[in-house]
Amino acid sequence: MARQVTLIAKDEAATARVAVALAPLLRPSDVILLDGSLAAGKTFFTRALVRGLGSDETVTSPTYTIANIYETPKATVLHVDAYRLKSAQEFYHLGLEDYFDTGIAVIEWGERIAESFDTALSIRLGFGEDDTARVLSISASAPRWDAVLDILEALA
Amino acid sequence: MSALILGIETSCDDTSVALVDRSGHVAAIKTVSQYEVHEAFGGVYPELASRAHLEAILPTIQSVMDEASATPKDLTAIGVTRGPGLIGSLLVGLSTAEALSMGWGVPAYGVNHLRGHIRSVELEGGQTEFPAVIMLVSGGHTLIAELKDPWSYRLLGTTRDDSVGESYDKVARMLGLGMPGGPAIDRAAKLGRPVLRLPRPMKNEGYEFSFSGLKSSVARHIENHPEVSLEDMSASFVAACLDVLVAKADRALAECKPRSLVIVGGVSASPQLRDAMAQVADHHGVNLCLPPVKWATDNAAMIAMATWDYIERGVKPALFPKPNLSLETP
Repeated sequence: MARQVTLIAKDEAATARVAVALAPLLRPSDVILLDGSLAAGKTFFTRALVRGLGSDETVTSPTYTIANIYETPKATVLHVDAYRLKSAQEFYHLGLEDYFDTGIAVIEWGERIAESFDTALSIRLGFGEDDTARVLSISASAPRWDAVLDILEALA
Repeated sequence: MSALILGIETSCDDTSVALVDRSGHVAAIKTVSQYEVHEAFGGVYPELASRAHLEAILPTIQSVMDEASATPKDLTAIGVTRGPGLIGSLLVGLSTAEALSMGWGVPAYGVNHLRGHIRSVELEGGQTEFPAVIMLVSGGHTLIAELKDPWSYRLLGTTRDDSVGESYDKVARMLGLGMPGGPAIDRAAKLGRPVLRLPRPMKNEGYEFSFSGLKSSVARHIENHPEVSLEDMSASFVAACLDVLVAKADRALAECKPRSLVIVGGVSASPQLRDAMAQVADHHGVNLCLPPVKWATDNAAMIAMATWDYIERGVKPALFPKPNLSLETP
């Protein structure tokens, strides 16, 4: 049974704070599916998350490369853009399996390949009352995320 | 047989393998293009790219070794692109290099593709005088940097969104010119006049680039001005791109006062860009270095050439892919 937490971020800084709060709760082999329309701030969220994990690398959009890789003290972050991938099978053909075992994967447009990640945390970025506000719908069905959702819920 | 580097380049949509000696002499090179594979999609299609690399890589290496009558004993090292590029494509080159390195007992270096482009000038007799200002303009990248010596880079600016080559390809697609977009637009532009007033994004600000808005503006003009010919549309677009690139080069030459201006990457094959940059270089009294057109696009010879720098510096990056590798990192 999927459980969902909804957070309202009134500006970019508030959205970044959610990512920074999530960062220390993550561990190797976690997968985050990140969704939201164009310009919703998926790369922005990932940038804050990677910084929260202790890396000062420049996080850029993975649209062209399909996946970017960032080294952080806790784990390697695999930052994927699934927009041009048609299926999860195609995704595995890219040869990324190793990174899913040992790293933290953040997958933009993750709903497209959600069927292969039933233990993932889903984060949907929606637009809020004005240009900079966002509504974050965070959900998961795997027990792995119960405590994480409790902590995030307390941010609301 | 002199000591050779086996260069392997699979960062995007071409599988390229070359053998290059220390002087920059290319003993053999073979590049297998994937244009036909991707043409139907109007862009590089990631999983097809990986599969095509996988099919092409070993026969291409064999054919280059045969052509130069080279054996593993003739190799000083293997140099392979570790980034930036498409993750799946990079993995094919890197794992092949790793396997050959183990099997042949030859060291393998993970090489920065951007540094390869910059060394393309030195292939077959070219020389760069330092300090230099370099501009890399290609399908994947648009950046300007200062080089004090062949190893020490200072990034001045890069693109905030699309690369210039990407916008050439996308505009070519909008105009129905097909792939590869660059040469098609250049040919059409030569027959037209720059009659449209298109924006010059960020022309007057620093060293950063932005081409996404220019592309959108062309799209609107195509819709609103069907009377403007394809040639005039192309000429207007090329004029806008060149104007921005020239303005940035001009600014860097004035501020950095280098001895040479180096223009590399696929877009440096554009005759219009070559002419415009020759004028800027002349105006500042600096040497203009352009790779021969055949070394301007992605190729393994430039990766092999750059590998010599790594060997001499004693820098040996691991054979892991780094799709988002920056210029300043080896």
